[in-house]
Amino acid sequence: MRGSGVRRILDFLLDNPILIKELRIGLRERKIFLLQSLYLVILGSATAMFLFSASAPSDLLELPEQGRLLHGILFWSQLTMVILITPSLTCGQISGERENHSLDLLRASRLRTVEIVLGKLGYALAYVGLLLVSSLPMVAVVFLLGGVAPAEVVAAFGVLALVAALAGLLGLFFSAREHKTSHATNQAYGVLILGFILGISALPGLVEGLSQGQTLGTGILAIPLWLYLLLNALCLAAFLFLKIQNHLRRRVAHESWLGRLFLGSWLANCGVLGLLMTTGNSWSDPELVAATWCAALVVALASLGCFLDPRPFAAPREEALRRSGLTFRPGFWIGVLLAGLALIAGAQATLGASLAQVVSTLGLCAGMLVFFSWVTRGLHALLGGRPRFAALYYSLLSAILVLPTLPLAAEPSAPSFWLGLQISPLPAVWSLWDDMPQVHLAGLELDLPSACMLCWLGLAALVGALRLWRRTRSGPEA
Amino acid sequence: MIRCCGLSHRYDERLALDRLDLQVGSGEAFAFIGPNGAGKTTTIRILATLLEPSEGEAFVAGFSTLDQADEVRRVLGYMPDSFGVYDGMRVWEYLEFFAAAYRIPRGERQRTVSDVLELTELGARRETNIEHLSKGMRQRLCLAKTLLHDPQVLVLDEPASGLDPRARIDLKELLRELTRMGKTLFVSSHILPELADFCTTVGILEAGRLVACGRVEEILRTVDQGRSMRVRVLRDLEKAGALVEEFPGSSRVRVQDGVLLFQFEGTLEALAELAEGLADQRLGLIEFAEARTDLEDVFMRVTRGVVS
Repeated sequence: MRGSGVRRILDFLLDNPILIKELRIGLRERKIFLLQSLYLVILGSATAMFLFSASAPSDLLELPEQGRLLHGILFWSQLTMVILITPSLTCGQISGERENHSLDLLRASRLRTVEIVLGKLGYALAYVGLLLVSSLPMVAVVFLLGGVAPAEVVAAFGVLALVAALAGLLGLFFSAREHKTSHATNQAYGVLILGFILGISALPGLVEGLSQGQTLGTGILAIPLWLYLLLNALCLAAFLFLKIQNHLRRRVAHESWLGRLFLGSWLANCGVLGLLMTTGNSWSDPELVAATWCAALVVALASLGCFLDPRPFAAPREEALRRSGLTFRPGFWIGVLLAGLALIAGAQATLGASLAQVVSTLGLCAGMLVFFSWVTRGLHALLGGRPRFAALYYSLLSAILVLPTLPLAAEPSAPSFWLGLQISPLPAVWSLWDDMPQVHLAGLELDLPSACMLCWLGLAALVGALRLWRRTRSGPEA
Repeated sequence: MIRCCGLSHRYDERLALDRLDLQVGSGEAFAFIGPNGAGKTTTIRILATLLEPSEGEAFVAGFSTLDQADEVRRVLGYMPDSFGVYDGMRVWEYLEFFAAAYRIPRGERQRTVSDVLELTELGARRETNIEHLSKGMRQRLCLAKTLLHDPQVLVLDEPASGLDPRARIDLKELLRELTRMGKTLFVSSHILPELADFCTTVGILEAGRLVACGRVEEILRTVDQGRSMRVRVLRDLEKAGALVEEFPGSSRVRVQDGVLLFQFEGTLEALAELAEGLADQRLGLIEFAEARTDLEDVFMRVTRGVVS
């Protein structure tokens, strides 16, 4: 039984028709061999230049230092090249199928969208894997000098693979989103360059934090920095993966606006993180903890929303939603955002909350909106697609988002409230707030944000369960 | 086998399909015709599970295209009007890729590919690179791909577009063979005489609405109350036309390529009287016969050239 299960998983991963097709076509192209040659020439030149330019050590104890230096040079060179090469392999994967009029043939076949995305990504990762394996002889020179443990080299390769997966997903995301490969390529590299510019300031702090094995937060909140970064990267990868799938199925206007809002907030959070790092804040600073937790939380919530996406179920109602005019008009969402901004700015002026708190709370709100949009779609599918109902429901959601900020005006210990609001779904930090409004829910005494969060999660679970129930109930028409 | 219930689709503000109700029985060859922009491709994309209708629902072999898309894809073969093939692949590689995409077990793929290559007469091109195939050959390749999973229903959108006369005849023979094999065919095309040869039923779509549906003869019976007649004279066609127009029971009198065409409602005796009247006028009557009505005539009569 177990054997058949393993075989099924292996078949799913390796007998993927898209992967085989891409490998067949892709590896016959001349540019693939040219790229690999260029990659090896650059790495070989860097190694040769280092070895020839390095002065002969006066003491054998200097050799490990040189080994570490060479390892650093090779790692950063490979990282740069992986970031530059991987999107070029994925940017044209889906938009190219569209341009070639072959995407419909794939969509009309029995291939699932997850197989299409995995096959396309798998091709890019297989090629990057080939590049990394072919660079092993040069990396092995490091062991001649010493100073670097094999585990560090393996970890470096793991980081490169993860970065390749993220860069590949980014390319695929734009490829699924755009109709032309040239547009997808421009946007993917634009985002990469922007990320580089924004991220470069935080890079030294992050590298130092990672090398010293620092933790994020204190006490029971403390998690290793590498784990935090890994979780964030995985959440972002999951988000991109699901967005690509959604683009392959169908475009929905209000979700794309919410997606932009979410991504903007997430990037703003990262920016605040970088800003705080460069201004010499400690990793254990409560504001930094709040901002970073929030960044992870927004991504996690959005990913959860994606998993609960009742799209195929709610699709027939989409037209009714669109006609309501609420979800289709960007003006509505800009209005909601501006109202939220005005309220939060007012609260900030009254209570003197920091920029990090405001930005991270905005990020949280954006994540909530993404989450709610999917829940709402599920409810629409269940209860009907009346425009009035949509208007009422969206108004209620906006109110739910805004209401928790109102007690701030009367709350004496506002900073802890801000912190509590941002990190409420994490039971580990419940102890941080003592002065939160308490509510009784099903015999439990909970603070207000936690109660809200539990209700929302319960609602999402209910929608998911009903969706599954309806799926299993529907059989062939008699 | 195919059932559309109140199917509507809207592209932004434009209504492409307006409450379409349609039924195609098992083993039928259904010709789906209509002017450009009538909503044919939209209907076909909904049936192929590529598009979700704004309203209504469609069923293929009893499976809903909305809730049971995978089941629909299992029983339906779809050939779009414009499709791309992957340059850099050989013919057998292309077909093997789609065989895997349609979940044909690995052990059976080679045999299935050989079977469809034989059926579509592409066996000799098995090892050819796709970029070296002609347009007609590519069309055959796409049809071969469509047949890989032995679907009960074939939905073909303009299968003969862009083909030369010989390739069209070959394709028509292939489609006729498929109807003999018991497949249900749902074919849209602008080239109506081709469809008339092998299609048993026809649906005419205009501005997103089905204006006529059924067997060609049935539609004719509802459209034409009476007989379609054609008259040829050697002299003074206009006078002959005026005479016919004045005769009781004549309608829709027109001249086309030097031939007088009209509809006649009345007894055979009345018709004989009209013929004798024309002969008496000494106009050089050389033909007085019932016109054979084809799919093109039906199409022209029931449509008004309105685009949705």
